Amino acid sequence: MTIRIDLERDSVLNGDSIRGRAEWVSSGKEPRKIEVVCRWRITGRANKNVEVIETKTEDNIAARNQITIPFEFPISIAGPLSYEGKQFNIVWEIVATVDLPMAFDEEETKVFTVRPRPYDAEEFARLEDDEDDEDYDEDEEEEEEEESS
Amino acid sequence: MGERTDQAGVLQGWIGTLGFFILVVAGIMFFVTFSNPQLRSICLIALGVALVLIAIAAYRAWRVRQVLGTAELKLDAPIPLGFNGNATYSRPLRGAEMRSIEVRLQCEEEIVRGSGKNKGRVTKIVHDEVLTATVTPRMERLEVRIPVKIPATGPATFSCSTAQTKWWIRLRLKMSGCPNTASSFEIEVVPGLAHL
Repeated sequence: MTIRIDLERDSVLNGDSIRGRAEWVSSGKEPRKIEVVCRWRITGRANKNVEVIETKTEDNIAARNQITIPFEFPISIAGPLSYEGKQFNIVWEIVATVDLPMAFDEEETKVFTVRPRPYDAEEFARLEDDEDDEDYDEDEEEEEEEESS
Repeated sequence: MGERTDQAGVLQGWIGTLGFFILVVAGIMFFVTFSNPQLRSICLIALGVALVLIAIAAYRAWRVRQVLGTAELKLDAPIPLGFNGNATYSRPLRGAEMRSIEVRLQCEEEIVRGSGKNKGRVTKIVHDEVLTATVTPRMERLEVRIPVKIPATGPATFSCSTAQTKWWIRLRLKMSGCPNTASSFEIEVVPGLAHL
């Protein structure tokens, strides 16, 4: 395995960010790209469901022997929180994938826990508003891009 | 204080369901065995029984609406994990009397399994707690105070395309002067931890 993930903390509160870095060391083959994904997924008896929160991609590999990709992914105030239920679980994880030409991709996964933050009605309302604004800005940018193209 | 919608009705709802089931089966059999007078008369009796059951169910629902009116649940909103507070259940009471009440706090998991024709939903109660309610006497009004304590360990309300968790306050009321009734209120538990 030539890719490794290090997290600052194994557990974060909803509304905070998960920080860490993915380190790749060359084993001879030059990858096309390295992708780091923050996601949660449903496991257990329910049908599988994966929700990708954010992706960070490094495609400027050139002839480098070692690459470090620092990341910081925001965890929504709405969660979901990590959960171990009777029928299903909610698992949060960081997945790093090395896209190798003519070979199986290398993948490393690091699971972390999202715990509930202390409840403060004002703080929750403010964080929810901030997230709504960000979503609105992203939607507007996408619309502008579509119009220009 | 937030108000929620009651999602349940008269108890023994199976009477109406049974009536409709018999009505459909006997209706089909009536036309299939139309040429046989003996079987046809049995079907006619079954149809009569079905209509009586449906009429009983309709009367019971009408009677509950007349005597009890619409239920309301007032509860601080939103509710975080570890919440410890009171909910108030109230309902107009015209000429009937409540004999006993059973209140439950329930959390249910619902998952979607399979695909195509085998796709289905499975619901399981993962938290079931009997709550001790206090009935406050009121003129022509039923008012029940319910202490609600959401476990700090959760889960919070959650929903995605294949799984969800929901919290409910469910009540069963045994009445005299009108049919027994039930109430169900969904409550949203936010992913925050109340200051304990």
